[in-house]
Amino acid sequence: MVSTPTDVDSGIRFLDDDESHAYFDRQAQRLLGISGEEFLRRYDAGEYERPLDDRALRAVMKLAMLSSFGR
Amino acid sequence: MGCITSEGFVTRYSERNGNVLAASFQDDFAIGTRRNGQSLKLEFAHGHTLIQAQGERGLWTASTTEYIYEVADERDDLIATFHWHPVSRLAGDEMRWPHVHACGARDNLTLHKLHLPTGCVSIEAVVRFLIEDLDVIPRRDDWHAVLDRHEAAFRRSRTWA
Repeated sequence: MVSTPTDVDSGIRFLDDDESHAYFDRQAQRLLGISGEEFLRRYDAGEYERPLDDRALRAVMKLAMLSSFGR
Repeated sequence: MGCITSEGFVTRYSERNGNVLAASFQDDFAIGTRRNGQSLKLEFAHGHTLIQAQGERGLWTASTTEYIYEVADERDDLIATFHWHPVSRLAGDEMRWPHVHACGARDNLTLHKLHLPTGCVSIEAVVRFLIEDLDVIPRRDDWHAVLDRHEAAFRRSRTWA
């Protein structure tokens, strides 16, 4: 007998602009301790194109990939 | 992903971003439970665009443009991270082809700094890795069939190597 998940999958939710910016801001705070807006400013200015330590590099790469939430 | 977690995803479509979409876990990451009782943490960032499916008028499909799939232990120490970021301009990880960073102790190598080449890795393959190699407890008994079915469909429709 095949079992199915016991709790309901949350699925995919499309965020509106405000939700999306709030989501990106939360990620930037969690990963780098700065606002999403500040991350985008620094990223667009090329401030992360210098060597970073492993943890910072890991965070910046993720935030760069998620940046469409914040723009 | 539903084979190991009920954690939902969020995404956003905005014309301002030129049809570039990102997706990630709604609550930042997912936790899987191993058979030995330990937890594993999975983080996920996925970039994609929507394109019209060839030969199927009116249908659209998501085409992956980049990804990061991170697997870490309960102390947030990385075990492996699967990367494809062809437009990255960050010093230290400029590799444009798909690769994996494997983390572990070696006397004469900094293993996690290496970019071990891979093909493009599907989410289904990562879930299978978590269940088969890292003993994450699946949420359903038919996980093998579910992953096979979804991965076969993905391979038929994918637009990248």
